[in-house]
Amino acid sequence: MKITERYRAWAEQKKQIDISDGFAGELMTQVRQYQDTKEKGLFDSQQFLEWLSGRFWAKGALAVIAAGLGFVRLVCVIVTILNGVNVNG
Amino acid sequence: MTEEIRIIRQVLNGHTDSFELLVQRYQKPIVRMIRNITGDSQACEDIGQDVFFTAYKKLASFDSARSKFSTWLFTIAKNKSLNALKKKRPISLAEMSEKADYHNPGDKLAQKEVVAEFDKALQDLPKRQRMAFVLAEFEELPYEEIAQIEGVRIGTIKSRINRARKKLAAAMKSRLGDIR
Repeated sequence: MKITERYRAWAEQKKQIDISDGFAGELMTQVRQYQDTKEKGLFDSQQFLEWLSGRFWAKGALAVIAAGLGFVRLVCVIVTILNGVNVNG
Repeated sequence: MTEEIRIIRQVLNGHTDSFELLVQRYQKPIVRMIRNITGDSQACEDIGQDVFFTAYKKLASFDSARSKFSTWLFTIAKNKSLNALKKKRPISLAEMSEKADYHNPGDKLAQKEVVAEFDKALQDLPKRQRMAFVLAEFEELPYEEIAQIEGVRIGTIKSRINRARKKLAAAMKSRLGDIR
């Protein structure tokens, strides 16, 4: 048998697959359990992150809030340092 | 609106069971792709379960304007396969020969060896070339879709596939000389 024929036979074999009969069933059990837990939880951080990851505006808003808080903190530190310098000086 | 988009909306509106329709539709191509990328016929179903479970959890982030559902799902499968490859130890030719399937009982030893040699040559390809080759050759996806899955340009995909084909052909020419 030539290499090309062997290759075709191998490639044909690679296109075949048998999946366990319970594949979809097992998965759906896992999905339903996850859904139940999700609906019962009051605040799920994982759920929040998933919700956040799907919304560009929410990610942007979070970044703006974080930058704002960082800026306020920086101002507070500078003011504290300057006041310290005044008191000591 | 395509049928898939309708199913996805149903799932997002709380009809969890509708997700099974998507699983039934894509379970074979996804598990097959994982098996062909990782070379692991034992773990491919577990990784496949993980792919669909992740897809369910992230379904709200799927944007039908940006890609087809199948492209999105194959992208998740690609990432999970690459993660599995990082954790996996290399499989020896002897193990591959054990795992290899064959169809011709009359010539089964030689055929098993050939399959194992092809499998080994495929697994020896660099990950990105193997990924592009498997998606094009066994999943028969168009280059545009493979480029979207891989996040690169079509030219890059064509070049990866060409290089993979050349390497496979060269490897097989040298290896099969001993078997024939």
